[in-house]
Amino acid sequence: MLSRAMAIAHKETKELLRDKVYLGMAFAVPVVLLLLFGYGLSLDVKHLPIAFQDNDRSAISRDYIDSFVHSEYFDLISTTDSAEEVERMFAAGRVRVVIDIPADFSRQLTSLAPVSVGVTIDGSFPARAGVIQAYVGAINAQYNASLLRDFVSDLGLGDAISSPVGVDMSYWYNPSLESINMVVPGMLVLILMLFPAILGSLVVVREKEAGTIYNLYACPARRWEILLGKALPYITVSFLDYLLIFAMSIWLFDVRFIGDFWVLSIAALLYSICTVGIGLLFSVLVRTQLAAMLLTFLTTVTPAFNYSGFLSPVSSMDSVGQGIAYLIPATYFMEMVRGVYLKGLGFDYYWPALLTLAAYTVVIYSISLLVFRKRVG
Amino acid sequence: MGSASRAPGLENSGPDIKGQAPEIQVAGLLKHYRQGLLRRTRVEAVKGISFELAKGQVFGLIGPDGAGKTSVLQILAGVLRAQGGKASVSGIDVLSDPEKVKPLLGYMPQGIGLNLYDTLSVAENIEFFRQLRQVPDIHYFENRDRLLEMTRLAPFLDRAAGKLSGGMRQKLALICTLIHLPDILLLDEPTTGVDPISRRDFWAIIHDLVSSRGVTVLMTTAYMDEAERCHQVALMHQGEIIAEGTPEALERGLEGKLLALSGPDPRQLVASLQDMPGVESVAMFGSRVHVLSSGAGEALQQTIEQESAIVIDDIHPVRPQLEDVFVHQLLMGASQPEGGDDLVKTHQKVPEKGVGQTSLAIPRLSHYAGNATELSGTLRVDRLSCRFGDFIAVDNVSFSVKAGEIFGLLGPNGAGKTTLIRLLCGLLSASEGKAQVSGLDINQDRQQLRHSIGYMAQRFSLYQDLSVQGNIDLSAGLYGLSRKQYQARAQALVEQLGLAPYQRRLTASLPLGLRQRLALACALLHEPAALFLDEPTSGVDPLARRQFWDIVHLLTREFGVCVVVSTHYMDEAEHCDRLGLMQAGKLVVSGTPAALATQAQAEHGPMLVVEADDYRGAYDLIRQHIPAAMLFGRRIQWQSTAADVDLPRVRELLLNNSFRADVSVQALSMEDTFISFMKGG
Repeated sequence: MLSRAMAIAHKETKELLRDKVYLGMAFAVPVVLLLLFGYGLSLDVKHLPIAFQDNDRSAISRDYIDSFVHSEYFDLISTTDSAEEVERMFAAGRVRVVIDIPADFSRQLTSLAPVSVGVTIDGSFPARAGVIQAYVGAINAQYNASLLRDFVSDLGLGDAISSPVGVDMSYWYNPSLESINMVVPGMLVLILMLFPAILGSLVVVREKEAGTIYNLYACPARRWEILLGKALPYITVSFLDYLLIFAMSIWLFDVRFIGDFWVLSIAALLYSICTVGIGLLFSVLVRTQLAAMLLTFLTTVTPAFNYSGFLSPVSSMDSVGQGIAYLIPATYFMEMVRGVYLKGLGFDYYWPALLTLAAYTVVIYSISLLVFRKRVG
Repeated sequence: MGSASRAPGLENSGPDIKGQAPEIQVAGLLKHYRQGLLRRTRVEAVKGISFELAKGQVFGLIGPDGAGKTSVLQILAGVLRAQGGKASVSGIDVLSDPEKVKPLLGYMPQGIGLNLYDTLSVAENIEFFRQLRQVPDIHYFENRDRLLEMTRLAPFLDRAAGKLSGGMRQKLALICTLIHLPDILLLDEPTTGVDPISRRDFWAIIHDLVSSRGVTVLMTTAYMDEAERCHQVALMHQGEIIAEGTPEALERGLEGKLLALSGPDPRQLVASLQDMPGVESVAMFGSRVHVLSSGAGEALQQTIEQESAIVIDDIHPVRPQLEDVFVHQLLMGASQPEGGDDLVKTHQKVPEKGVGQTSLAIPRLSHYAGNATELSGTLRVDRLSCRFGDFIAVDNVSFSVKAGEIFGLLGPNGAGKTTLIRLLCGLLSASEGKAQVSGLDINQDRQQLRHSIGYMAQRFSLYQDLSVQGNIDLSAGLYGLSRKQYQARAQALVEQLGLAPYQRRLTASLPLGLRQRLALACALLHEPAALFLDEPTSGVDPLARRQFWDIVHLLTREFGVCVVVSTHYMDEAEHCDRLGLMQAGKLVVSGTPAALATQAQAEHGPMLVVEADDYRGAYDLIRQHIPAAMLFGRRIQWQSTAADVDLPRVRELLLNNSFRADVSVQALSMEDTFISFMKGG
């Protein structure tokens, strides 16, 4: 009885391979999207363009400037004493932060009087502005500490007094704290949500629009045979997508992967079946490809992007956000993907998430089968 | 309500079914759809119809677009739910057990090759249907090869279905429907938009299946000449069957009531005949006028002949066609045809007044062209060609159309008719050659050209979500007419084309016939001198088509508009003054319909027609001697260059084998003429 499903699957595969739009959507677009997000969505704030309006132009002011430039956080764009030029650079977006060193900077310091520098930050992206503020504050504090240390040692007192409590920090799982280790695996979850679901959402409705659906309605094939035949090629496609993205994550983005490939693969296969099923359900429900695509887009990738824990952890969401998070399959897969990639955890940790995904899948396919009718009207 | 084919002495109504359960049985079938935003509007699609098909019968459901034919087929195919009544196929109740009948059925949905997958090749499409239907190898290869041979598709096995012509697509669709050797075929408008040669292949397959395997066929069609080839037809209108019987019996019911008149001024003839008592409908075919009388034809003939006001050169009764029956039935509603043939059932229900369809008054376009100014549109086409890359869509075409003339373009799908019309409207650029519309060059004077031509595109390029008035306003705007300029004219057109009651209706909600008239109104708003109509009547019912042609006649005869019209349907060709036959981009031949028929007959001979009681046996016998013989309904016919030899030979052959048969020589029909030229060219 499987032969009828295989006949449909075979036909779907041929159609997919010959349609450039579908083929592009299946393979090319996911790769492009991964490249865009992988390289573009860096949450690390580094190499910020900085300018100094140095009105003092002394050895001490240059020393102060050096303390900024010698970190990987800031790139020196220019030092100038013209206020207009500073404004121009700001407006053009060439610098994000400008530090105004007053003319009496070195004079005040050498006479042991306090002095203030003016810090102007481009606040158009609040998150970035916040990070800049922290960096500037920290570097400034460091500079103060070194001034203090110099002063204290000049007085003949030991170094120890200057910074009594030191902090020795280490980060687990993502020791270098590089956001690529979090973005790329996250993208795997989003891409495997979006494209399988969208492709799945078109498979039945496309035949409804073309009129060929009546071949399936009017033949003796059972409903599950039809849906299985429709879903199989796209589950395969999305598993291939998974392999492709996994390979790119390791060899192109150098994402830290310490887990078990087989654990991740089994989870990815289950997730693919689930996401194709979500698309299939919409495909069975609606009449036009446009409606199917929009519905799928709205109900899959939008919540997955915001609530799956892609950008911020689920635990830090409010109760409504957490409620949504546990309703979507992406959350469970996200938890597994990040865990396997960065923590190297196995089935013993993730069987509840796998079971939840499996249950989700069963429910989705059951609803599809229930609402799919071979007789309309 | 017994099937007509159970009446006594009915050898001719299809196969003998005495004592057999009907293969398809429909009783009191009800179907309604819900429409509108809140699905509040109820549209009755099928209003309790009943009919039966015997095994081996070819049954035609005929009727206009929206009559409910497709719903009936879909219900029987088990793909559409019904609200009430009974429907069974091979004794299985389709309504309660649809899955059980599906293995027995072959269902072909409406639309040209709509069940095909465009990116798959011919062979792959067939293979898919084989796997879907789990056809065992022993049947498959034999059946496939035979079907491919009959459809002449074998050389195209590797071509993608999307790249086939319309006719080929439809034949492939049929192969896919037939690949599992179904016992029952449900075919929804299988030949709409298909050229005559492909249609012949199609019918050859159907007859082969019926005679070799006793397949039962239920098909729908909007075209009456198709229906003539069925054993039994039922006329559907607005969800009801208004007449049912064999085509011959239905036609016989009108025998003697249809008169053909010709005179020096056919327009005047029409005008004076219209109000004459006893006249049911008047239709103009070129220079001839057909009059259908509500009573006996002789009485009307006398009245007309005695009426001194009309000049008539010739008046004689003509053999009614199914189309005449259709028009008659719609106009008469319930009344039993006189000289009642008991083969004809007239269902006792008066059809509701169709949406602007049941009146056949000839429209009057008094406001056109500022009160009957002669517009004198002309067309000269001089060695016009159009290439798309290597493909030559229009190849060195020359012809001219005089003011007030209707020029018909005939030809198979993909012959280049649409491209030619688009060239002439200045919508495409010619690769070579010249053409002038009313003295304006199609390449150089495009801006002016646009104001002197009217163009009606295939499938009417109307905005479905605008009202009738909205479409008119939009067209006027596109032509740069000010409200003052077009308002009076538009109102007159709307009224005269019978669109006034629907002015505020959404275009999508109108039947095809009305949409067609709206498209015409939009094309006429700026009072063009030349009118280009691309398949204006595809799928439109006979009544609406007659009215449409009346308007076209009026525009040409009264106002000197010149008209170029393309069509697949040969009976429409009779409305044209001159015809051009196109094939593969070339204009193969042109001339008046009569001249073309004479020429074809001189070159390829007249038609020999055999009408036999046991037509199937006679057909098998004749086929052994004359392979070109074809079966049309119950008629066996073939074109013969040696009619005077064939006629006595076949007569003797039939006599020797004790067939009761009538053999005659008949003039070529328009379709025969067309096919002669296509095969010869």
